[in-house]
Amino acid sequence: MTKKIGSETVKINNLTKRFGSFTALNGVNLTITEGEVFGLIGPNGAGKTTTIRTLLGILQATSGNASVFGMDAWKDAVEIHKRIAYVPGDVNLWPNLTGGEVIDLFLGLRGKHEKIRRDKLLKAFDLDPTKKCRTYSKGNRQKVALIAAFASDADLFILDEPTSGLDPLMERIFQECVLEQKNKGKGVLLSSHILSEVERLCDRVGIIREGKIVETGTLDELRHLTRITMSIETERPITDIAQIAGIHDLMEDQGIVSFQVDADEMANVVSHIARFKVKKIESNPPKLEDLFMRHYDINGGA
Amino acid sequence: MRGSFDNSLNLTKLIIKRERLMTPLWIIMLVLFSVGIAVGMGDMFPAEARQALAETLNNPAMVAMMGPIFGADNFTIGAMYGTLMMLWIVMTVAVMNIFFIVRHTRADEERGRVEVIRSLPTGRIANLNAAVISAVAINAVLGLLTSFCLYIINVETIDLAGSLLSGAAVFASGLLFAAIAAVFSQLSASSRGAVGYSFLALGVFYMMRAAGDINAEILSLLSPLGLVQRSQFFIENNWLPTIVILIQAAAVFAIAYTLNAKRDLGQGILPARPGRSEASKMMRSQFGLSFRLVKNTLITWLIVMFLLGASYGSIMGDIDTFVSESEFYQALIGAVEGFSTAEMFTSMVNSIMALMAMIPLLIIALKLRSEEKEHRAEVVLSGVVPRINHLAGYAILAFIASLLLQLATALGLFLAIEAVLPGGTTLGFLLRANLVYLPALWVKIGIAILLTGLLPKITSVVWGYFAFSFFTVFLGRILNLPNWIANLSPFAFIPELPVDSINYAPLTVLTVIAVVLTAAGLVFYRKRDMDY
Ligand SMILES: Nc1ncnc2c1ncn2[C@@H]1O[C@H](COP(=O)(O)OP(=O)(O)O)[C@@H](O)[C@H]1O
Ligand SMILES: [Mg+2]
Repeated sequence: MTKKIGSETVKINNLTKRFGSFTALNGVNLTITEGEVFGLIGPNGAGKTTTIRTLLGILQATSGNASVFGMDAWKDAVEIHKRIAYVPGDVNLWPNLTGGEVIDLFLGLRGKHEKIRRDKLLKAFDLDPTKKCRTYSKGNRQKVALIAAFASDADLFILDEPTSGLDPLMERIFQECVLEQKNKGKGVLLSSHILSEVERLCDRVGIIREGKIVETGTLDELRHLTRITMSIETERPITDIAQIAGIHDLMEDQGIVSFQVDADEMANVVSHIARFKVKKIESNPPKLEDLFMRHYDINGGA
Repeated sequence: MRGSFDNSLNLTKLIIKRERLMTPLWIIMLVLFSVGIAVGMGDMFPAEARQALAETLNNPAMVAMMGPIFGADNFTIGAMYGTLMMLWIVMTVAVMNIFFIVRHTRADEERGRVEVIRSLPTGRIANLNAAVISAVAINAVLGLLTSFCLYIINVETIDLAGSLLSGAAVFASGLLFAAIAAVFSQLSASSRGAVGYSFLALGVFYMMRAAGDINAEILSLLSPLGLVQRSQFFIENNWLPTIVILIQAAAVFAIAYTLNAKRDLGQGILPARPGRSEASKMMRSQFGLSFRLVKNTLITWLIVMFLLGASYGSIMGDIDTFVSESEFYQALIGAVEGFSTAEMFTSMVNSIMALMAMIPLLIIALKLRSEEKEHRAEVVLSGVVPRINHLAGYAILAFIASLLLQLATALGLFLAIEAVLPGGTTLGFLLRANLVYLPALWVKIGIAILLTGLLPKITSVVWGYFAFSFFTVFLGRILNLPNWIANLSPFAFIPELPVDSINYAPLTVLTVIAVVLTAAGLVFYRKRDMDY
């Protein structure tokens, strides 16, 4: 999908956040443009939630700054919040109010009550709004926050691991909701460690690790940074392949050669092997997962 | 910062909705309690009895406990009510306000309920502001009802002017403690901490006025509790203390607002110390975990009991001087031959201390219930330990704690008495006099365990029963309650040494009752569902 190049909705500049002596964010830089679905991925404790809370102005940056819609995240929080909807990863509600009451409260605090959308979403997410929140499971509490968010007419949706308690069916409904907002041109910041979800929904991805953004780009761009796995069977045995730049983990088994190749060396490799009469060729494009693992594998990765 | 207060009114509505049961109950109980006592006093104390009481109370020990006796030369019912009761009413209102404010600020924040609220277009201070607006409304209702009800009971010396001032003083001091709790809710990152510090402040204010009322007036004026008593309700009806307290409340609220605007959500201003990364050996067992959860409560209360015992012990010197000068006091306390005045006074202190010990004991005995409400018990119960052991663990902890707490009291008393009246008493006597209360404490623990097992929704009833015992023992000494009322509390069957001698029959019966209640609680607990 091609996107118009819009203005920046979120701009995070060299953001550092310390809790006492512990540095949770260490110079985060991040830009999200209008109408874009941005995926923030990273393992537990990487700083996703801290980044988001700073954007929401409920944590104050130690240094650096964060702005949303061109306004300062801390100083202009209330103005910003009129145009954003947030779903936390861990939704906690008041045990003696019903789900319906809480949704209405959240919508009421926005000042607009979108009854039709609310009821449609209740149905889609299959939530009983008459039950007290004390009886809700984690997933149901998450649905309450999701319904309140998607029933609003916010311009930017900030979702922090919003599907961690949902079953696969509900996850699908969630994805449809996100795509619907995307089609309306709304922006989404989705933090997640469910990679298939991010691959399906996001235009651009940022990888955060130990309080630093280590990689950002469109999925295509990120794939360039990773390696493609190939296995090839040829009529004549392949020679000299080990000399080509960008080849890794070369193996041969009964005439089938398999290896990994850096995405940007692909052209060289293909023209080299063409000379040996290819019988069969298989290539697996890199998955976000590999990318993710490359950054996180404690053993050093690929 | 723009819009810091936005949406305060909507959040106030939310608080009122959530409070539709709890707060009306508090208010009704408080008004019934405070006005009921005013009615009771009128019926129970003819003029001569009041006058006698005024003189009786006018000694350092009682002044330390109750405050200065104003209007003693014409101790009308109004004067008696204002002098003896307003302190306790204000302290109860303070407790209500502390719980109320922490419940709607720090506790909600700690449980993550404020996060989504704050992501909506609500101001940074809106949540605190809503709690404060609600507190103003609640205290106003409470104050007005108090004034109104005091006036309509139609006791001659409880007049309109005094009733109005009483209500206003309740309103003002309620707000001051709401403000104090609001500040501690900003300082501490946990609701337990916020409640704990607020109660500590209340305790310190009480001690300040105790010391101040005996010999350093300035301390009493610095304590809102001492200050409010100087309104001289139904005597002078001085409005100045109420006005000063209102101004103090406004100033303290301003501090809370300022702190709230500056800090991160979920954080306190005081640093939280990091926990340990691995469980100690003890923590890895079921019982160890339970112990860990109540350890701090228990240690704090052991210190409190020791210090309270010691402070009562330390006024023993004054008691003797006083008794030799006052016929009334001799008549009241020195009537039993062969016992020293210090021992006599000690017997009264012992009963009060045993009541104090009930507070930590009930907290421990009801700990499982509070864990269950927080859904934390689920994790533990899904382990390999049989369910019944879980509750049994807390019961055992409460029984052990009862012994330790009584020992701490006895020791505190003994050391202080030894210091002011060497040879005035023996440790053996004090141990017997305090440990003899154990069966009554055990009955209350038994009730708490039984309720946890059988009627988990209403475990807090046991607090009401505690309040009742407190009333019968503590005020019964002054008000001469009818026997059948006093006998509804297990404390009525405990001999007060050395005036009474130990009779093992009722003690054994109480112990058996306690064991049966506890056992029944455990059996019911094993059978019931989890309940939030
Ligand atoms: N209030 C806090 N006090 C101290 N440390 C915190 C606090 N909040 C988060 N952290 C720490 O900051 C790091 C980042 O946390 P977080 O942003 O929640 O990670 P993520 O959402 O990516 O899992 C973690 O190591 C976490 O323990
Ligand atoms: Mg997180």
